[in-house]
Amino acid sequence: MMRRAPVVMWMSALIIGPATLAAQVSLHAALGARYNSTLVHDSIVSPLDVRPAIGPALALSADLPLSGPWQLELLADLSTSPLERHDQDGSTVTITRLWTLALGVGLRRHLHPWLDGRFAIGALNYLPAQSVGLFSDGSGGVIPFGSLAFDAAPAPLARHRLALELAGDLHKFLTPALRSAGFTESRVVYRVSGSVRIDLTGIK
Amino acid sequence: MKRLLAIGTAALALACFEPMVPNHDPTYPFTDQFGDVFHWPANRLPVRFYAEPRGTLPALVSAAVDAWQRQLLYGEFSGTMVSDSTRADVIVRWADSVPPDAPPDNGPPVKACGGVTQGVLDTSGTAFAGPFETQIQILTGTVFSAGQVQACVARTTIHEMGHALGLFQESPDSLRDIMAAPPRVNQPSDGDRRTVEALYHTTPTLGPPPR
Repeated sequence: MMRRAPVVMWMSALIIGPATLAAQVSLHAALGARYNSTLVHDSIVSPLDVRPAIGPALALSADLPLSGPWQLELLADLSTSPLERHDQDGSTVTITRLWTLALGVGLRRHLHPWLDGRFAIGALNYLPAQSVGLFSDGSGGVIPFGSLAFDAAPAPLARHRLALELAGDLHKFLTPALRSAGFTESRVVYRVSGSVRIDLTGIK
Repeated sequence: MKRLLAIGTAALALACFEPMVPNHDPTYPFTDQFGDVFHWPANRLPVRFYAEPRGTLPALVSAAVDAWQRQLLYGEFSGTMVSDSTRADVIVRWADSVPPDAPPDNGPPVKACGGVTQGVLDTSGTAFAGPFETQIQILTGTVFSAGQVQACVARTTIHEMGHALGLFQESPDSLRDIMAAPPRVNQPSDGDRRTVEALYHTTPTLGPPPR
């Protein structure tokens, strides 16, 4: 069900008349940096953690007005960074480059004149550059996530159609190779990003 | 606003859940006869493997490297095939005859072949002087089918590449482990995986050969 939701929402957006939609949809892009929590904590002789390094994140979203204060938001999010192993002695080893693609649908509203809040659900997929290590048997497929974001647009930024966005999301992580190695439970992973969000509507 | 913050707080509480770590204890020793430990260090990855280009040997070595690579989850080891033996860290050759290509026999394992891997220490005794050299030998004296020989050389090549990775001892568990001598299984076992994991997280006392 979670995998279908974003598709259904995108399709419903397409069914609405294009001319009506164009007048009401606002488009946004956000570029920033993302922190990932640990994907795997393990102990082989000594403890180790595996997590992506802080890396760039790009999000595109389309907002459609709904009744009342709410707006429907369709979003796509791409981020990338090296996947690293952190050993207890402080050393770091890069395993591979990791991309993450997420598609979601959410609801957004004004909380204050200068502050928006948004929650969303969707599906994300880990896309490693090489099928190695914990991704040697695949990434485990599409993973449902839930996210929360706040956009602050104080007047000086709002004049330039800009806002500062703080977003966080949560999902579970386990790959087939980790399962083969004896992990039986998924790990809850959170990601936090800080971005500059720009309103693209009407920009030529 | 409060509702959104409550959702965020509940989500963070969920994130504190810590899954159980699996057992990674080694099931057999990996040191050499003097108690020394060797594994390829991170700055020497990917390890370069050369296989004599006769018969199925390049495919066998490539499959063996892949089989070991898949045992290590966190970037501890990677290998690549090279076509120039002078640039290799591990050189694999047939000892004498080259067996005919045939689909590997799926029947009970037979000892139709053997293998040996050697590394020579330099004068300091703390690092290897040159590349590891492996020979795969077809046994004579008993007649085996081409499929039985191919199954044997596939098992033996994985076993010998295990030695080249630093698993210097044989496993006593001949029913399960590819590092038992002679190997009777087709792939590294859970015990092999745990042992090579422990090896690659143990500080080595021997250095790699110079490049």
